[in-house]
This record gives sequence, C-alpha cells and structure tokens, in this order.
Amino acid sequence: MKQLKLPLFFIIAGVFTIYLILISSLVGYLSYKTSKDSVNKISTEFIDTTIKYIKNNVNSFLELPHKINKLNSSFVLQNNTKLKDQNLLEQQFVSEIRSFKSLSSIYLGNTNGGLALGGRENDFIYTISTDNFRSGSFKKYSLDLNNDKKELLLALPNFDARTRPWYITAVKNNREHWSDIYILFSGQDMAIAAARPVFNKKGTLLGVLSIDLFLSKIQDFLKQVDLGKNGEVFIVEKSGLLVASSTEELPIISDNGSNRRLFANESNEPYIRDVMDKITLKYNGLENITKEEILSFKLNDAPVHTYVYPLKDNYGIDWIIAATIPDSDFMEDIWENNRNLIIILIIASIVSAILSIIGSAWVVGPIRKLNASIKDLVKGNWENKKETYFVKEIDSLSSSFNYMASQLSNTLKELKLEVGERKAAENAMKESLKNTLEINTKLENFSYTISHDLKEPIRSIRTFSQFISEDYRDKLDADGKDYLNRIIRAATKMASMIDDLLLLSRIGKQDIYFTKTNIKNILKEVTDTLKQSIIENNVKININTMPEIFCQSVWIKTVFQNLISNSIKYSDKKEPIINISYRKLSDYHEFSINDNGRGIEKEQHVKIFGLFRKAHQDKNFEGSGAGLAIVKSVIEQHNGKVWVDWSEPGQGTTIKFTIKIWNKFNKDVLK
Amino acid sequence: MKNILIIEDNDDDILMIRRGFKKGRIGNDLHCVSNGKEGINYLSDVTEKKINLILLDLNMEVMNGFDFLMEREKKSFLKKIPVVILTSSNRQEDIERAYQLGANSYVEKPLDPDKFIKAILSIEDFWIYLAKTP
Repeated sequence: MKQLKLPLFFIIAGVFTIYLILISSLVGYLSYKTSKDSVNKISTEFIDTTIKYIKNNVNSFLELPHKINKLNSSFVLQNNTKLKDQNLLEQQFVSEIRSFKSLSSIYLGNTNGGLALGGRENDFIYTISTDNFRSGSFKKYSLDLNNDKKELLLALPNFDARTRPWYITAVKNNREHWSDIYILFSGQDMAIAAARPVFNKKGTLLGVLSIDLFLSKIQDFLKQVDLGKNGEVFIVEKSGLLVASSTEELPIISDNGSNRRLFANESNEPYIRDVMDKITLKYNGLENITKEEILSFKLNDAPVHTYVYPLKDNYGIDWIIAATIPDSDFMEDIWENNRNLIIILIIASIVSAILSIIGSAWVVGPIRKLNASIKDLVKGNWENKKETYFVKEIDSLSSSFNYMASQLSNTLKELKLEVGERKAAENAMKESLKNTLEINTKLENFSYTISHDLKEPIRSIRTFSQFISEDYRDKLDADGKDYLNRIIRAATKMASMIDDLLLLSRIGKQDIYFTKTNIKNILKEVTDTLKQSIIENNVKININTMPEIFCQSVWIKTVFQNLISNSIKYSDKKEPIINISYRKLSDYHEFSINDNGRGIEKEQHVKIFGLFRKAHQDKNFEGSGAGLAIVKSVIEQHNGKVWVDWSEPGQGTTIKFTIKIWNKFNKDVLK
Repeated sequence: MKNILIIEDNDDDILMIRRGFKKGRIGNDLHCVSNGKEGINYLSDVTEKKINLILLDLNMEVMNGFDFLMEREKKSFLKKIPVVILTSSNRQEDIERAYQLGANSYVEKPLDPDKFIKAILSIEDFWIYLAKTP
C-alpha cells in the first residue's frame, strides 16, 4: 500500500486553519443558539411593556370622559339655574373641549329634549344648541377663538335629545354608562359616548350629561405605538366588531349604500383577519377570554407572539386588545448580529490562515533548504552554506547539520584514504593467498604422488617377503626367518608412516563441512573401533556429559581415536583408567583425556606433537609417531589448541584440547 | 572357466593378482596387457578369446585407466564387459571419476599381502561366481 505523504507545510497551515474554522463554527453556533433562546424572552418583554403602555393609554383615554362627566354633574347640580342656562353650559363644555383634545364633544340633554353641546371638529370648535333648550330646531355654529359664534354650519329641525341612543342608554341603566359604538353622521368615524344621568336629591332625572369619544383617536394612538417593524395591534369587541387598529384601515364598511361596522375577520388587513381567526380558534369564541395571555403561533409559516388582553371597565367596556409581533422582527437583529459575527470570523480565519502559511513557511522553508543540502551532500557536492534562520530550533538544527556535514566530509576523506590503503593491502593479501593456495595444491599433489609412488615398492617388498616366508619356510634357517621378519616389519612401519603422511596432507582438504555432531556418539564409535584392545588391556573408560558441537566430525573422531589409543597403548597399570570430560568455556569447547598410564617427561610435552615423534623410544610401542601431529593439525583446523595439561611419569597424563565454538562470525574464519 | 583380462603395468602386482586367483576355487584364464591401448587392441581382436571380466589399473603409461574407460564408453561391445578398478589410489576424486566413466566396481590394492589375496578372492567370488556376466 502506498503511504500518503503530506508536506509539513500543509500540515501546519492546514491544522491551524481547520482549528480556526472549528472554533469559528462553534462560536457562531453558540451565538445563534443563545440569541434564539433570548428571542422569546425579549419579544415577551417587549410585548409586555408595549401592551402596558397601550393599556394605560387606552384606559386613561376611556377614564377621562367619566371624570369630566362627574365634574360637570357637580357643576350643574350647584344650583337650579345652571341646568337651565343653555349658554352657560355651552361655554363650560367648549372650554373643557379646548382643554382635552381627545374628546370630540361634551353635551347635555335635558328632560325637555333640549341640547347644549361643545365640540371639536378637525381644526375648529363648535357648539350645537336647540332653540329654547327644548326639542325642536337644532343649530350648529363654528366658534372663533373668543368663543363667539362665527358661522352657522348646520340647522336641522325636530331634534329631540331624549330619543338619542346616549340619552336612552343612560336612562335605561339609571347610572353612567357607555353607549354602543356608533358611526357618525359623516360616516368617516365611529364614536362612543359616556352618558351620565343627572338626578336631583329627590332622585328625579334632570337630564343626561354625555361625552363623545372619537374612536379614530384611539386608532391614531395605536398607529403611533412602536410595535417593532411589522407588529400590529387591534382592539375588538367581544362581538367580533373591530374598535380600532394600528393600521390605516377604517373599521367601517359600506354595505348596500348604508354604512355599518366592520368585523375583525372581514378586515382587508390579512394580519388582523388571521390573528382573529387564530384567537377565535384558540378560545373557541372571544367571550371565553378572561385573562391576559401571550400566544405563540405561526402566521404564514412565520412564528409570531400575540398578546391577548381583555379590557373591561365599570361602564360597560368589554373589549379585547390583541397585539402581535412576528419573531422575525427580533430575529432580524439577531440575524444581523450573526451575519456580522460570521463575516468577522471568516475574515479572522483568512487572516489566521495567511499568518499560519507565513509562519509555516518560516519553519518549512529552512527544512526544505536543509533537505536540499542533505541531498547535495549525498551527491557529494557539499559547500558550507552559513545561513541564519528566524526560528530558533531551525537555526540550531541548521548549525548542527553544518557541523555534521563538515565532520562527515572530513571523515569521508579519511575513510577514502583508508579504503584505498586497505584495498591495496587486501589485493596484496589476495595475491599472497592465491600463491599460498597454489603452493598448497602443488604440495598436496606432490606429497600424494610421493606417498603413492612410495607405497608401490613397499607393497612389493612386503608381499614378496611374505611370499618367501610362505613358499620357502622349510628352506630358511632361524636367522633367515628373522631377517625376513625384520624386512617385513620395516616395510610395514614405512607403509604406516606413509599412510599417516597422506592423512596429514589431507587434513582440511577433505570433509571441510562442519556438521552438528554429538560427541557422545563419536566416542561410542571410537570405543567400538578400539573394542578389541580395550578388552585385551582391561581398560576402564569413564565418559561424563558430552556436548553437541559443530565440527568436522570425521576428523574429530580421528582426534579422539588417536588420543584414546595412545592412552591404551602407553598404559602400564593392571587396571588402566581413562577419564574423558568436557566443559564449556566462553568461546571454546574444552575436552580433557586423562589416563593413569606411564606419563610423559616434562621436556617431551611439546615435542610429542611433532611429526614422527614418540615419547617412548620403545620397540614394543607400535605406530608411526604421526598420531599427535595429526591431532594437532586437526585441532588447529578447528581454531583450537591441544596441550599436555598435566603429566607425571608413572602416574598418568592429562591431555586437553579446545575447539572454537562455531558461530556465524567464525564460520567465515574457518572457511 | 572364465576369461579375465588384467590391464596392469606393474609386474609385481600382476604376480600378486595371479597368486590370488591361483588360490581361488577353479583356475581362471588370465590374460595380461600392460596399458589401456593394448587392452583396447586385445578386446577388438576377434581372434582372441571372449573376455568375461576386466581388472583395470588406473596409473599407466601410454593409456591410463580413465582413458580406457572413455574409449570403452564409445564401443558398445566393450560396455557389456564389467570392469573392476584395482588400484593403489584411494583418492576420492579418482573413485568418483571411475564410476562416472562406467566402472562397475572400485577396489583399492591393500598394502597387506594377506588382505591383497583376500581382495582378489572376493572379486572372484562376486564377479565370477555370484554375478551374472554376459
């Protein structure tokens, strides 16, 4: 699988940028979440404050007529004359109208059906009065600033105050009461009248005081209430008839030529219609609204909050105020905040990314240079570039590298010199080895040929001496037989010497393979071979624990065979004992062959390992005298040593030898 | 009675071989030549007796044992006669080469005269009495 390799530059810049994006996203998300949570709270609080404001204003709006009615009632009851003085009453009402701008007219109807009225129309003040303060002719005059009659605006016959709705309401209720909302003659506005019956101390009705309130005044107020961008408020009677709203819509509809009031669910304002539907649905009819409440629902898929407040007073007002504000009014601000936040975060991310790119360039740039320098160094074209770097660690790395490079180049030069010398030495050695090998081969061939050629005549000497002794036994005397035996013995000895010479010449040439060899098995084979002489000489052989070693097994067998047969050969005790033991040294196997034989003189300890040397110049001891030379040669082939470790004449001998422990390292050496 | 061809340049050895066969069970007909070349000539001569076994020395003048074996490889009528190498060499490479060139057995000449006689008798035992030859 190919491993993905990223430039360090990308890693530093990338990690930093990813980190920033993560932080930004987190901050943005948290900010959004927090603001969303606070929308409900804020909108609720906002509506609460606004509604309180609306409530208070509408209430004081509605309370004012009652207060003035009460004042006027006291005024007219001060004495009997005042109630009859139509002019005085008109003056009183006009001055009140001038003071309270929200009132449209203040008037009194007496039990004779007469009317005294002070009123306001758009930009002027007027009075209305019936002739003689009784039912009959009805005249409306505009007034100048001095309250003098300026112009007759209107004159109507047959007016009777007692037939008017306000008069009837007051009489019917027998106390101060609001009239029903009614449409003005002009059809341009609606009004509601607060009518108060005036009784004398005996409880006789003296007349009805009444004040007209234009509902457009409420509407004007509602229009200027701040309900956010898209918030709207409307007031509705429990019958569903619209009283006023914050819209421009006049709550009057022209139906078949005559005017009538508009139901909220008939409004041209979809917002009023929809909220009305929701409220009706929610409460199953407006009559069931008994306490103020904030509703949350969706209008055209947009979440809104609607405040519903039942407005009631002691004089018959029973309205519902419904103020609605879409959440988006608040959310928009929050969205704007979030947008700003996002822009700031994006800018911050970009700036940080650029900074991290610059920063990583500080780090990566020098590393790239260093890398290029290393590649140069590998190619061999090194020049010492002394540069300083902004980043402390990089600078330190750079100087370490420079130091290393100069050291390396010095070492390399020395090494090249040394390699040259070594190669020369090696070539010389190879040459000399080759020569040695050639000489060895020649020597081997020579010694082989010599031995072989020498063996032929010896065989003939032996054979024909034997034939003589067999065929001419009868014809030889004792001396002749003795001579013949001597010839045979000498020939036999010479043949054995030649055999040993041949053997010696071949040590290390044949069977150069090192094999894992169980020495115990080797000793078993040796004692089997020597079985006859062991039995004949009554020899006891003790063998302790033997190892498995890597060696040229055939030759090691020869070593043991020669040493053991020597011990047997040179034993002079009735019970010869041979002890063979082993111990492992750090680099060598050490074997020990101990006997209780006749021992070797000290001066012979080294000599005996020479060719054709024998410790005992005794004719009784057979052998060519090459046995220990062969042992020495084989042991040396195994990078070991052989020596006489201990020997006392008449007591015995201990010969020890070592074999280098075979491993991968000295395997090459052995080859 | 079988015919045995001895290819051997050493008279002493021929004498010893003859002595060995003399001690055998029946007298075999021994024919001697002193090198490989003579051996080839002898065997190619139709007037000569049919040979049942060849005893071949390796070290000889004119044509040595190996060259004889190589010549023998080329001639099918020679290949059916078994060849026993009888030589004083015990070199491993000589032994291997001899068998590679088609020798049927390889016997080293023992130094000891008794063992020499024994070796000859063993060859007779095996090749003349036990093994079937053409």
